Amino acid sequence: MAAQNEYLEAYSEITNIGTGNAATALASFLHRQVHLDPPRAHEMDLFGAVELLVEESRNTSVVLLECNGDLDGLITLFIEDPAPYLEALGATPELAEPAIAEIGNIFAARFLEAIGSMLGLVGHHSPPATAVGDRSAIMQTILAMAAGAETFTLVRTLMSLEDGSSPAELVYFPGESALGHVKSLLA
Amino acid sequence: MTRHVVGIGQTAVVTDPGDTIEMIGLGSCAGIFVIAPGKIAVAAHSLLAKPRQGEVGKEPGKYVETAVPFLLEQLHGVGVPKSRCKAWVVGGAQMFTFGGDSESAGIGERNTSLAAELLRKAGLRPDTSFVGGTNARRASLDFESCEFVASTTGS
Repeated sequence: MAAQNEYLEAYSEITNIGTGNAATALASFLHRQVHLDPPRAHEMDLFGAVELLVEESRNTSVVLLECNGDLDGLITLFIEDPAPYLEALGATPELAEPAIAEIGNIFAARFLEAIGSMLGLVGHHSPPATAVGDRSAIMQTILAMAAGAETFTLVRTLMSLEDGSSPAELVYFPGESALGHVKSLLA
Repeated sequence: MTRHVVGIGQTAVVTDPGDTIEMIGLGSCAGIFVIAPGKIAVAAHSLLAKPRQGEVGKEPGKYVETAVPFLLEQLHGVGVPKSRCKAWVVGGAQMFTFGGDSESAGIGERNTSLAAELLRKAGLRPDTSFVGGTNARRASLDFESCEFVASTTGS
């Protein structure tokens, strides 16, 4: 258990490097300060993940990026109110989906680059997939995509703009390859 | 009078008159409902069609492939012929707009197709009127009246 906690702490730290760099890139893109809480890694079964992540009947905008290479997995960003982000980009509501997709694109690219260069690993990501609707229903697809084994490893953090507006949630699900690489580096 | 809200990966077995089985926020998951009128109603909220190779599912509801046999086992011996039983498969929506080719785009369709196929193989005739699309759904089954209601939610 102690080794497992140490491993999750290390994963939180590694993710922190990635999210920190990604937040800087995002701040530059949005011309706004971006605040991020320290990420926290968890390992849990399906029911634990559902309890942590699935909230009933909340409308949300989501961008999802599938990662492959050494740093495989899923990067997901949940934005409850995209209006401040659109305003920062000068985008109209009709452009909400591509704007949110681009935010995900920038975040994922810098996130993978930062972790990859720190660990000497390579990760690529897919074009962003977007969804708008019931958070619980959207989360089902994400959990289905992340469900590789009996347990889920996930790293979660909260993000907001400088005035605390437009809270967003980042959930990263490292895949088998990413987990294996990090475990072997810690061994 | 109990509402049994079945969450992701869970199953429900109901035998009390007045009880209902409900699923809220069904996206790409398959919601599987079967009732032997007056005897038993069962349901599963399955995340994926099948476990990965080598994985042993501890919870039958997580996968359609294990959920359907589990549900049918509960109906065994209740004394209601299959021709009188009713079944529904709900959900299987594609919640994401994928930017490129992604195998994940078919998760929902694989879930509901397998559920319907396994129920048919068992001699049931599932109603699949409420599958696919891009919206979340909610569904409920009333044990006493056998009334089944499904609707889409959200945008």
